[in-house]
Amino acid sequence: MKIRTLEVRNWACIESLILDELHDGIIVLHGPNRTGKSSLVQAIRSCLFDHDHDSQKSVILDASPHKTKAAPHVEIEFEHAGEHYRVSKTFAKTKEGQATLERHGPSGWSVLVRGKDASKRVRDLIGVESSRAGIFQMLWLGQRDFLLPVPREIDPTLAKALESVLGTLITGHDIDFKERLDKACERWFTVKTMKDQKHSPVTRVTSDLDEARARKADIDRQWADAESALKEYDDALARQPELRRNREEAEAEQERVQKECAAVRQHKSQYELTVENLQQSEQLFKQAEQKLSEFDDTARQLESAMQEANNLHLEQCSAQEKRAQALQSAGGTRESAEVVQQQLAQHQQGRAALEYRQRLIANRLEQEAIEGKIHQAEELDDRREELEQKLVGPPVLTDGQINDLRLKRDKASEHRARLAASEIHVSIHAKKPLEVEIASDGEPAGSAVIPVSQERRLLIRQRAEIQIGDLAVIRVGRGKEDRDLEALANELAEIERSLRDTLTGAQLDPNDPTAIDQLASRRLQQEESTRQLKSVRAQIGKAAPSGIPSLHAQLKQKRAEQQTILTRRPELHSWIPDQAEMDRLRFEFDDREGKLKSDAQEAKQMSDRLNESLRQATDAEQTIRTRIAGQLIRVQNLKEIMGRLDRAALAHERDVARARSAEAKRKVEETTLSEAEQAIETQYQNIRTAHAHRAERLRSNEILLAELRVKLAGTEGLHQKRIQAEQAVNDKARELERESLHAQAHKHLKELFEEVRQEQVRRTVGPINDRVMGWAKQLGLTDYSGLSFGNELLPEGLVSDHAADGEPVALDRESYGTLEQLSLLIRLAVGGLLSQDEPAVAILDDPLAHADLGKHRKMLDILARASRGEPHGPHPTGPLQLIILTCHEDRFDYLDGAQQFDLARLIHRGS
Amino acid sequence: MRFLHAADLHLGLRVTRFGSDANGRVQEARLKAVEVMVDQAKARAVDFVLIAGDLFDDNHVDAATSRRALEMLETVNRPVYIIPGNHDPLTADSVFARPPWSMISDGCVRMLRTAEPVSLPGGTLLPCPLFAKNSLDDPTRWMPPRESGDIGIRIGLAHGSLNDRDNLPPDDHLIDRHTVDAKGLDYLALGHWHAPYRHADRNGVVRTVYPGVHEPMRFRESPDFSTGWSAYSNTARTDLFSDDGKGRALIVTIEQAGAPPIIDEIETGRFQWRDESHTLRDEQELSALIDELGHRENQDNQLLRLHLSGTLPASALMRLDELDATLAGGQGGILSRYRWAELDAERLHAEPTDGEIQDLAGSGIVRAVYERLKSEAGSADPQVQSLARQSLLILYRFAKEVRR
Repeated sequence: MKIRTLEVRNWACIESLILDELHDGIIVLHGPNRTGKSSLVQAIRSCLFDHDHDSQKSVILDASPHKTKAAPHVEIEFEHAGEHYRVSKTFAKTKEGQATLERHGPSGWSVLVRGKDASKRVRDLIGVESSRAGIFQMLWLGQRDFLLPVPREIDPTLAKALESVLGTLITGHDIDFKERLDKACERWFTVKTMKDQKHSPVTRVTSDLDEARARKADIDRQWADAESALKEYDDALARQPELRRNREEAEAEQERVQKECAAVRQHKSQYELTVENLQQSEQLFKQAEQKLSEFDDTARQLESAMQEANNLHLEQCSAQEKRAQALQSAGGTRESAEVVQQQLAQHQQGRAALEYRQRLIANRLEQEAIEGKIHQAEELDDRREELEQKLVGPPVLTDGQINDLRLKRDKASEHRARLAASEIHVSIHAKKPLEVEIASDGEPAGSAVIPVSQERRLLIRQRAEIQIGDLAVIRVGRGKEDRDLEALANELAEIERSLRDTLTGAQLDPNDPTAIDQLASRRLQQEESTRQLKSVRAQIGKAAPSGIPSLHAQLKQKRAEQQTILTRRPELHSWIPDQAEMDRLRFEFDDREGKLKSDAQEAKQMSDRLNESLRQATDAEQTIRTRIAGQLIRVQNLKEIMGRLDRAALAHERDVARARSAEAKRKVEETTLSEAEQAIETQYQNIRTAHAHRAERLRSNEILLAELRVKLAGTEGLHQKRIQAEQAVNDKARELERESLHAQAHKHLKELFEEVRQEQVRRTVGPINDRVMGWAKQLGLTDYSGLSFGNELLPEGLVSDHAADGEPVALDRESYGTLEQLSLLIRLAVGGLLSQDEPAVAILDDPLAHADLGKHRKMLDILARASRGEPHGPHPTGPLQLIILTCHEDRFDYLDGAQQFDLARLIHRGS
Repeated sequence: MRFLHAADLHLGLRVTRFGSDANGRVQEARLKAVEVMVDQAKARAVDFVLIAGDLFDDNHVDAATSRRALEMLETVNRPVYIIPGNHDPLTADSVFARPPWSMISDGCVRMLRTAEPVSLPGGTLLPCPLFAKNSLDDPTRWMPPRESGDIGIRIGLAHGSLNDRDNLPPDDHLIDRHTVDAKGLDYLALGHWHAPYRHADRNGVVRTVYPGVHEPMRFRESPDFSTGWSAYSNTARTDLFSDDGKGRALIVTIEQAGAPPIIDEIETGRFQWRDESHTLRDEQELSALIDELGHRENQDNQLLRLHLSGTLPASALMRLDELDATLAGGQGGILSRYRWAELDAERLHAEPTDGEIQDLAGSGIVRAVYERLKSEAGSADPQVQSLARQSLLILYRFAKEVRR
C-alpha cells in the first residue's frame, strides 16, 4: 500500500488541506504545534479503516468544526497490489454523509462500492480490521505510542502475519509441556538456574547413604575386631602351655637357692660382728693420738706468746719517745700563728677610713646630679609657660565645623551659579531719555530714568513689569512660575547668613575669601602648641617627678650628709674627693690584707699538722699498751692448761689403743665371706624376679584369654547387624541411583528443550534480530549481542554479554531515548519483513522526540534504509512509505530525497 | 537304618539385595523350610537326622535365629546329629559355644564337637567337625578303617570339598574321594557344596553324597546376580555354591553293612527364585504378560527378575507403569505384589508411529526434543543411552498429560 493523495476538509481545525503526488519514500509533514498534524493522522485512520461515514463515535463527532458544523470530508488515493484506489468519506448521519471506493482504470475512476461497504471493502483489501491491527500496530504510531505492545496485546492478525513469514516460534503444546517439565524439575532443581535444590531427594538420599555407609563401616570394623580377637585368642591359647612350663621351672630353682641362702646368712652375721668391733678399736686409737698431738701444740703456743710479750715492751718505749717530740713541735708553731693574727686585726681597722672617703666621693656625685636636674626642670618650666600663653587666643573651630563651613561655602557658590544661569537679562537702550518704572520679582516698583544712548540692564528671576511712561507697559516673565528658583534663592540666603555669623564669631572678616583657610591654619597651630605643651609637661615630670622644690630639698640633704662626714673625719676637710686616688688606696689596702690572711692561714695549717702527729703518737702508745695486757693473759691461760696434763700418760693410752685395733683387724680377715657367698642373695633375688615375671606372664595370658572370651561372646548378632547395615547401604545406593537417574533425565530433557527452543528462536526471529542489531550497532548500542525473545515473535529484552547471571536485560531497563529508538528499530524491522510482497505505509507522529542530535542523525540514515527496503539482503525486506509528522522540521532536513510539506502553509484553518 | 541327610541350611543367611522386608522374609523362609524338613523326618519315620555342617550362615548369627533353630530341631523327637561347618566352625566365638547350644546335653539334638565315633543302633557314626573356616587338613583323616569283624553300618559325617576335580583351593577342607573305600564306610554324608552331588565308590555304588541346600538362595538363571551372600571358601568356582533352584533333603535307607544305600529326595524349599525373559512384539503381548503376572499364584513367595525385550509403540511402553511404577518415579504396580521383583526393560524399545508422535509431541519444540532423544537412545555409550531412554519415558508421560 502507498498513499498518493490526501484531501481533508472540515476536519477539526483543518478547513482544507490537499497533499498530492506523495511519493514512495519518506514524506515529512512539518508544522508547529496545533497546526493540525494529529488531526490529519486521525483523519487518515478514520477514512481508511476505523469509521463508517455515518459513525456517531465521539472521534467523528469531535472532528466536525465547532463553528461551521460542516460535515468532515476526507479523500485518500492509494495504491495496493498494483491497483489505484480512491476512498472518500463525508462523515454525517444525514443525507450529506456518504462513502465511496473507486478504482482507477483505463477509462478513469469507477465506483466500486458505496456506503458502509466501502469501508469494509478497504479493510478487506488491506487485510486488517482497524488502523491499529496487523502491520499497522507496528507502523502507525501516535505521539506516545513508541513502546512495543506487550505480548497479550499483540494483534492476532499481526501475529499470524509474522508466523506466515517467520514460522512458528513455540506452540501452545510446547508451552504446556515446558510448564509441566518445570514443575517436575522443582523436585530436584531451582526453576530458573537449574541448580540443585538444597533439600532435593538426591541430597537427602545421598546423606542417608553416607550415614548407612558410616554405619556399615562401623559394623565392618567390629567384624574385623572380632576376627582379630579370634586370632588373638587362638595365639594366646597356643602360648599357654609354654608359659605354664616356664613358670614351673622358675619355681623349682627358687626353692633350691632359698636353702643355700639360709646357711650363708649365719656366716654373714659373724663377719658383720667382727667388722663392727674393728671399727670401734680404730676409733679409740684415733682419739688417743689426737689428745697427744693437742698437748704438744699447747706447749709450742706458750713459748711463742712469751716471745711476743717481750717484743711489745720494746715497741712501747719507742712510741713514748715519738710522742714527746711531737708535743714540743706543736708548741712553737702555735705562737707564730698568734703574731700573724694580731697584724691582720690592726690592718683591718684602716678599712673604715677608706669607706668614709668613698662616701664623700659618692655624696659629691649625687649633689652634682641633683643640681643638673634642677637646672633642666627650670628651663622646661619656662617653656611650658610660654606655650600655655600661646594657647590663649581667638576661638578655634573643630575640623568638622571647618568642613561644614567649606561645604556651605561650596553650596552657596553652586546656588549662586544656578541662580545666575536662570536669570533673565533684560536691557533697555534709550533712544531718548526715558522714565521707566520697573517692578520685578515681587519687589516693590521703582522708577528710574534711562539717559539717551545708555543701556539699562535688568536681571529677572521670575517676572518684571516695566512701565515706560504712558507709552508702554512691558511685562517680562516666565510662562510658569519656577518655584525651585524661589526655594534656591531662599536657601542661598540662609547659607550666606550662617556663614557670616560663624566667621564673625571667629573674629574673621566674612567677606575675606581666605577666612575659612585662616580658620584651618589656626586649628593646625593650636594642635601643634598643644602637642608641644604635652611633651614639655612630660619632660618636667621626668626631670622632677615630685616637683622642683623637692629637688632643692634633696640637694640640701646631701650637703648635710657631707658635713656630717667631715665632722667625723676632720682630716678629710682638705681632701678633694678623687675616685682614681680612691681606687689606688683601696688596691694597696686590699693587697696588704691578702698577704696577712695568707700568712695566718699557713701558720694555722702547720699547727694543725703538728697537733695530728701528736694525737697519732699518743694513740700508738695506747694500742701497744693494750696488746701487752692481752698477751700477758694468754700466757697465763696456756700455763694453766700445761699444768693440768701429763704427756707420758697420754702416750701410753695411745699405744694400748693401737694394739687393740690390730687385733680386731685380724679377726675381720678371718671371717670374710667368699665371692660365691656374697653373690647368693643376688642370685636368689634374680630367681625370684624371674619367677614373678613368668607367673605374671602366665596370668596376663589367662586374663587375655578371659577378656577375649568375653569379647567374642559379645559378637553374637553381629552377622545380622552386618546384613542390615549392608542392606541399608544397598537400599540407599539403589534409591540414589534411581533418584539421580530421574533427576538427570529431567534435567537433560529440560536442557534439550531449552537448546532446541533457542535454535528455534534463532531460526525464527533471526531476521528481526539481525536487522535490529545491525541498526543498533550503527546507532552505537554495542553493549548487547542480541535480542531476547520469550514465547512471542516480538522481543522482550536484550542479551548482554556482560550480565553476570546471563539473564536478558528487560527493554525498559534502558534509557527513555534508547528505548524509543530500539522500539522504532524493531517496528521498522518487523514492518520491512511484512512488506516483502506489498509495500507498507508507516505513519510516525512526532518520532524520535527523545533522541539526541547525534543519534537522531543516525536514525535518519536508518529510516532512509528502512524506507528503501533490502530485497536482496540475507533476510529480504520490502520498502516502506514513511510519513513523518513533526514540529521540528530542521531535524529532518538531512533526509536526502525526502518530500517536505509545510503544513502551516498548506492547511487552511477554520477561524 | 533310615535317616534324613541335610546340609548347608545357612540359617541367618546373609542377603542384602532385596530391601529389608524381603531380606527378612528370605531368612524366615529358610527357617520355615526346616519345619518342612522336620515334618518329613517324622512322616518318613527316620531313625535319626544328619546335618552335615553350616547349620548357620555364620558364628555371629543373632540369638533369636540360634534359639529358633534349636527349638525346631528338638521337635524331631529323635537324634539329630550336627557337625559344625566352615561357616559355623568350632572356634572360641562359635555359635555352639553360646547358649542355648552350649548347654544342650542329653536332648535329641547332639552337637558333635569332637572327632570320635558315636554309637548308633546298628552301626557307628564317624563325625568330622570343623574347627576353622579354612584348613589344609582332610577332616575325615582321623577315621579309623573298618576293623575286621565289624559288621555294623559305618556312616561318615563331614563338611568340605570332595577332592574329585581340579582347581579346588587346598585349604577348603579337601576330602579324599576314596574315603568311603579306605575307611570302609557305607555312606559318607557330606555338606559344603550347594547343588546336589553324588559320587560312586570303586564298585560303582553311590555312597558319597551332597544333598544340596534345603532352601534355594540364588537366581539360577543369573549366576552373576549378587544377593549379598558370599562363601567362606577361597574358591573362584562359584558353581560349587550355586544351588539348582530347589530346596531339598535326602531320606537314606541302608538295609545292612555293604548294601547300597537307597536315596530319596524330599522337597523342602519355600521360596521360588524366578528369573524370566520375555520378548514382546506388540501391545497385546505386553497386555497378556501383565495379565499373567497379575494372576500368578503364590506371588508372596516369589522373587522375580523380569527381563523384557522387543519393540513396542510408545503408548504401550507407558503401560510398563502398570508393572512397575517406580520406572516413572512413582510407587506401586503389579510387581510390587511379589515378595520381591525387579524389572529390566533396558532392551525394550519404543517405536512410536508417526501418528502417535504427532499426537504426543506435536510439530514444535517437543517434537525436536523427541528426535534428539531418540538419536541419543541409539548411542553406543550405555550412560547416554540410559539417560536418553529415561528422558524419553518422561517426555512421553508429560506430553501425554498436557495433551489431555
